[in-house]
Amino acid sequence: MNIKQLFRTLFKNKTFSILNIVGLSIGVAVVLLICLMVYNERSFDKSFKQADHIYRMNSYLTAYMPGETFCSTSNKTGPVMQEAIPEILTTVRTYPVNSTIRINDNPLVLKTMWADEDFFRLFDTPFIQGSPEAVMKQPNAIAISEQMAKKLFGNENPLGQSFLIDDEHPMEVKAVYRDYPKNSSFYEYQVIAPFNHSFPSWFSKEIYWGNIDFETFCLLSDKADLDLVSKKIEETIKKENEEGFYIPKLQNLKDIHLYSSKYQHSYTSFQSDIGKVKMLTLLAIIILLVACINYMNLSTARAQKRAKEIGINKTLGAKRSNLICKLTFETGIITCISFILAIVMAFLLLPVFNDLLNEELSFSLTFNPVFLLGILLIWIITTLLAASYPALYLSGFPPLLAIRSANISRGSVHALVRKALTVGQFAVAIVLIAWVFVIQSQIRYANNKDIGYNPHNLVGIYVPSNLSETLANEYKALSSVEMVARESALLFKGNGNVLTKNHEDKTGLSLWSIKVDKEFIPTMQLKLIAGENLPQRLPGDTITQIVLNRKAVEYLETTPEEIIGKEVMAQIGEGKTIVCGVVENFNFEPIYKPVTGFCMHNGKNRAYYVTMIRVKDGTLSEQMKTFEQIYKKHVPNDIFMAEFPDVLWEKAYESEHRTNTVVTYFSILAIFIACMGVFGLTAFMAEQRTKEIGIRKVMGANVRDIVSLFTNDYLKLLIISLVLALPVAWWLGNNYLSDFAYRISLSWWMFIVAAMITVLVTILTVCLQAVKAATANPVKSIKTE
Amino acid sequence: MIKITDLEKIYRTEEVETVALNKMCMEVKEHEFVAIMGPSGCGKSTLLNILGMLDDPTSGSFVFNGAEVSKYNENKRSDLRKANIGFVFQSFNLIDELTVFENVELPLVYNNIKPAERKVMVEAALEGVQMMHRRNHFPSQLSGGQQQRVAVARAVVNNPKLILADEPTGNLDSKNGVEVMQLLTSLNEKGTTIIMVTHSEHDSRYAHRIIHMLDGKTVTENFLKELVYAAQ
Repeated sequence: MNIKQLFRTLFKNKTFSILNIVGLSIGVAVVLLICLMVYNERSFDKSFKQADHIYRMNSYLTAYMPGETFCSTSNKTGPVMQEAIPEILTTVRTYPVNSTIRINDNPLVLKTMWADEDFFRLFDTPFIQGSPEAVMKQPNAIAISEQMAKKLFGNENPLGQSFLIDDEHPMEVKAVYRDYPKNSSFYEYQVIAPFNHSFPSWFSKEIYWGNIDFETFCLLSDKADLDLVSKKIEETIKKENEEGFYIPKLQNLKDIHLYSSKYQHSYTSFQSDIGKVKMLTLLAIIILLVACINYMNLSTARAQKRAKEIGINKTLGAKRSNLICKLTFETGIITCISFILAIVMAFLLLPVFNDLLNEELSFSLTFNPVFLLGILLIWIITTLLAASYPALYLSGFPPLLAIRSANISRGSVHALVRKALTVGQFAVAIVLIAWVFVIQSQIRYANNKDIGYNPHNLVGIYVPSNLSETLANEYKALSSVEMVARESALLFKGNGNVLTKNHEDKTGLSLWSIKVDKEFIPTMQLKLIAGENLPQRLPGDTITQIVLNRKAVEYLETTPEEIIGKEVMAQIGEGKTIVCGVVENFNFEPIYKPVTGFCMHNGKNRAYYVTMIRVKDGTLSEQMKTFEQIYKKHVPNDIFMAEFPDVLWEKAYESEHRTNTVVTYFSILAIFIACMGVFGLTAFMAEQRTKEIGIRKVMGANVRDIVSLFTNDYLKLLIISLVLALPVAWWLGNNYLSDFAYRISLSWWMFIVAAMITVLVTILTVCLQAVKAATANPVKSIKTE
Repeated sequence: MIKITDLEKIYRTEEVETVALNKMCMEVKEHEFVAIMGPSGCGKSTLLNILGMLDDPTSGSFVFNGAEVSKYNENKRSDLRKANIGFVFQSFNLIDELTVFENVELPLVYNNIKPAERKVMVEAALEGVQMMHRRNHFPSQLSGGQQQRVAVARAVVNNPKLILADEPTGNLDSKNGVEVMQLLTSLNEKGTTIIMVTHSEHDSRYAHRIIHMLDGKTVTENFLKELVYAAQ
């Protein structure tokens, strides 16, 4: 084991060394980055000491939206369960809201968490100033985060400072807590306050079963059996709340971050999806495998050159085990170099990666025994993977044959293994390219899909309900404004209701509703397919008129024309609910969700809080100033808040798009690494076949003949990989798309083009080497004996 | 058929300049059998490679069938070579992965001859060297003499005008060596021009003329036989 000798060999075979080391290090760098991300995603909320025993009480709905899970439950659930079940030691209800505070007349929106007294005991939180008791047991007291204290009060002492929340409720800062770590679901909350004493609403005072708005956490005793507790919870709710429409289900705190994306009503915006994590993990494994296959291929290919060395070693008394050690050690050194390079690369690429994923990952996360051990493990696995085949193969050379350096590796089982590995690599490349195509096509489809309304040139402005009419009229008067409409909530963020066919219908269809004025449907450019637009509500009206979407009509097993003028069973507004019109289905939720029921109504008891303005094309950004001025004229002290539907629509896919972009880039990298392998392998084949090429040339073969000799070999391998890869790619594509309610159908061209690209890139790579071999002087090659 | 004048071949590496051919002049007539002899390193093989258009001269003139070929490019040389020249090497240079038949067939493939026609030609060539019975064997299954006979069959399958032989008996025992030399002589008698590099006094006596080389040029020429050729 001579390192000097190793480096001499590496240096002598520059091309191979570079391909080996660079290929491996690119692969490892990518794997490191993905590991960093996955590690971060999986570390969420684990820093809390009692994390293993803290559970969130989700609500599993048995009616209204049966099968759906909400992340929250009623404000009665927690206390009742704690009372009834001894294993539940503590429960803490939380109610996060955005509160506005005013600092020197500048309004500021803070994420505020109203919580039960035991919050800080459940979630161990270090305090910089004050204590949990100082906050949680006193009226009108709040705790703020360290970061917020700096922002609000600079170097002044924050304790004792007070301000108005939502312009009404005076609050005093009684404690400052250390910021929660970034990998915590609570990171974004800057204010925490007890609602027992301070919450400025009836909400916390009236305790009843019929709400599901409180995110409730509980602490189980160390020895509690989760299944048993769950059963007790179910029994308790059935006994206490016979008419209930939900069953509380426990979810461990550590699972909240990754396993809640399909749940409704989640407060934290810090959510990720296990699907994304799994996809990236799979990609990391594939990339590592491709890089290792590369290494194995290149090393075994080079074996013939080393046969002599091995043979001499053996004749001089080396045992096979010595040689296996020696070769594994060599690989270890090479992978070590690659790892060092990879770490440097990963460091340099991290900002780009963060930018792509909109994350703030840093390697400070890695100064942690688990992560470091992980890297060490990856290194060992990589070394063993990469060394396994070459070491076993090379050490098995019979000594005499090896010294004579006959054509050992030709036509043997080993050439077959190498071919199999190459086929594997091609197959991976084809699958990845096809995957990239599927992802990109789906994104393009999502971007261009007709979503049933026109989100462009549209802005929604939050307005006080008493001013909505005045403001609407003023906006309407502007020359660049085409239409103005009013609604009860932004865009289509309606209230949950349920539509039933008759009294026997226990499940019903979930029906989202918003109150709108008669301008709304034309302003949004929704397509009315039957009946009429919603009429203005007249003072004497006793009924509520609604416009349904097609989905709701289909649920009622009737046609849009027939349902006009009929009453439907849904509790919307007051009095009878009468259908006056039907609109075509539109995507009021992201398109991976199927459309459910939706209705727009003119009920009495809801006010207009949002004004929707449609402007002439291209004038929106310049008009925003005018809109704000008009708003400020009426409410000078308020915050002007506006949202753009087209931006919101894109935002819904942002994280999805980012993940896909990363997957796309990394797939391209994997393909690149595979290409490096093919390049190295052809270089080797060319070298090995120099003599044959020489003979063929002497016999009259021209450059083209020689090049096709090489490409034919690869074409055969490519065809085999195609046969293997296409079903896998098809399955993967289908699997990926099945998450979307609206999706492209897989088409043959994606796979054909993926295959063509692989063929083309391979042939080009091969040609590069083959031409070199073909134009070499045959005199030299035939002399090599 | 061949006329070279002041042919020079100089190999240069960073430090050393080796003159392999030093203003060599030579002429070979059609149907002639010429043996080239000389000590190792005298430039015999270099000369043969240039004559076979496998290598190009540093300077000087090389006229083949009346055309100046020293400045031909790779493709042109390749065309000329595959149409006119057959090679026999000391180490046979058969392709291990191909059968006897396929090895002999190779020059025909590169001359774009149809498969049916190729079959006839290959079989004729193999008959000529009495290797028909081994047509489906691989080179590794043959003795040295048999391999060289296959190599000769390959060299003549295309009916080349010129055969270049580089120590064709160098790896053979004397019995096999004689067989191969007789094969070459009979080819020559049928009209093929042969230029053979050899170390063997014995083999050289089959030729019409022996050229002795030293340090890259001709030192003596011995005429052994009159060139008598009657067109068939």
